[in-house]
Amino acid sequence: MNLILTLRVLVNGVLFGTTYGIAAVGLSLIFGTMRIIFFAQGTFIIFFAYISYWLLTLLGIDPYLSLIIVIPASMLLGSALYYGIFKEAAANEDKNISLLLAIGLMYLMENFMLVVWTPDPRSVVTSYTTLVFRPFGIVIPFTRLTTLFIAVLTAAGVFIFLKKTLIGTAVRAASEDVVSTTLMGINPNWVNAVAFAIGIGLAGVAGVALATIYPFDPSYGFIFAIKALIALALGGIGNVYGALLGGILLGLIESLGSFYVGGGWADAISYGVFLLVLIFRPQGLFGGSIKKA
Amino acid sequence: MDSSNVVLRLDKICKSFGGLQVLVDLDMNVERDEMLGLIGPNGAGKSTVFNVITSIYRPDRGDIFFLGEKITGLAPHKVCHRGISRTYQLVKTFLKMTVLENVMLASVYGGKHPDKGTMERALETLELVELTPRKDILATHLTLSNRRLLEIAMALASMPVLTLLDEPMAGLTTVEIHKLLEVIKRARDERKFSIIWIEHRVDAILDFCDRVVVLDYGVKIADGKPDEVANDPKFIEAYLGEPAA
Repeated sequence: MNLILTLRVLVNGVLFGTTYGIAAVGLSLIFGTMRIIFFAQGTFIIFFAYISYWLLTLLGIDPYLSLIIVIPASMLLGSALYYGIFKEAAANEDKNISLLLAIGLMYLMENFMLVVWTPDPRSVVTSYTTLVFRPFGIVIPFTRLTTLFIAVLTAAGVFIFLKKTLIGTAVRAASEDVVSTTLMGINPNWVNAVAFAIGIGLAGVAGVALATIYPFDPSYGFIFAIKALIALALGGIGNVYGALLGGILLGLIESLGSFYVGGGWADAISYGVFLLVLIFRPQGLFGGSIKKA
Repeated sequence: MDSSNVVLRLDKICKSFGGLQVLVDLDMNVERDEMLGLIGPNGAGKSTVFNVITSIYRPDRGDIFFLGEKITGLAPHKVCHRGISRTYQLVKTFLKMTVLENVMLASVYGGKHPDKGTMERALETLELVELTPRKDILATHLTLSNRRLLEIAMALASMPVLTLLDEPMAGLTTVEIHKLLEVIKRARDERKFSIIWIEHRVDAILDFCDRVVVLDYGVKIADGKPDEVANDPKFIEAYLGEPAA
């Protein structure tokens, strides 16, 4: 009985952690080329959760089906954001300007959402929202399982893109050294725009996935950004693969923490782990050695 | 005066950082297929010349002409597309990527040469620097000397008109230096391109270059054939100090 309970906690942790994971992969990509923590990531996730909510309530489009619209739209929005807002700042050696832009954008979006959708929590309710599988007595909601499936598929897509395509290789190169990629003839704006497109695209996927499993409100975006940041730190900042694992690990920590220590402690524990990792293993749990400047 | 043979021309380039004048009214030419050595004591402004040519720094005054066109202030990636590539004093290869991926990037993005497949060109360039057997290993696992060769391959994969080599021999053993020189000479014979070569080892420059420019505190103090420069009193003074009275 106790074993099944533990298993249930673990499974839930993994299932929820994958959402953090996709968000963190987006953060990691944008960090790689832009060298900033893109704080607005969480707010965009919530934004796309609302878009999915609207598509369902106004047009009757199923959330999972809405991905067909949300993914290309969010990628377009991502590159537009780069060219419209970040392009000039990215050329500046002082990265604080880009960072402040990201924070400004986050609050702008949050307040925009407060006006449009009010501070009341919304949730996406479908015919399968309450659908639950019970293998061996472990309760697995259908929506969470689908989220895991989508996350794995998305992450695999991003990894293949980075590994197998030339554009992906250029993005990887830029995250090692932007100046030398530029001198090799790679347009830095173009690489940054690609990173933004994928980063916001991932926010789109995470937003839809989140909407199906959790009630959300505009202020949740900032919290989500912080969670993604913790996942990023666990996995190693700049390590795309680690980011996904970091997200899953964070999900586990929260799930185990709230079950064995107490619900109120879950967040405190994850922030504690965040600090400990940054102090003792700044390269992340899955990375190799870190380059000391 | 046959100016059509000039590939790169620096026209009265001035660059200062804070109050420090690093380059003062520098005039310099590079001819087609020429190997030009650029030497000078530490802090003479040699690397700054490279950073100005590749548009990392914008000169305070003066202009840079490449193949007859002004390229002053052009974005660095566009300078590369025009046909200028470079290597660095501290080797900059992408360590987390394989040798082939490194060269592929340079081959694909470095220039626009529709005549030949980029993959083919990347492989051919690797062959040129004798790194073909190591094409699938990560750059981080290469020795320093192989990493330098890789960097040279990356600089050559874009089929440049002009390549800037920043101290390619630094930190290498005598045997490795021999191999490097051999590769550079062979590449130049096969590919035909111009080189500006910064080097600490003046003897190598005097041996291998067609022409030598000497910088001292950002001022050009000598420019000519290696044997002329070697006997130039200003050159001797810059390197050995003022002669005893």
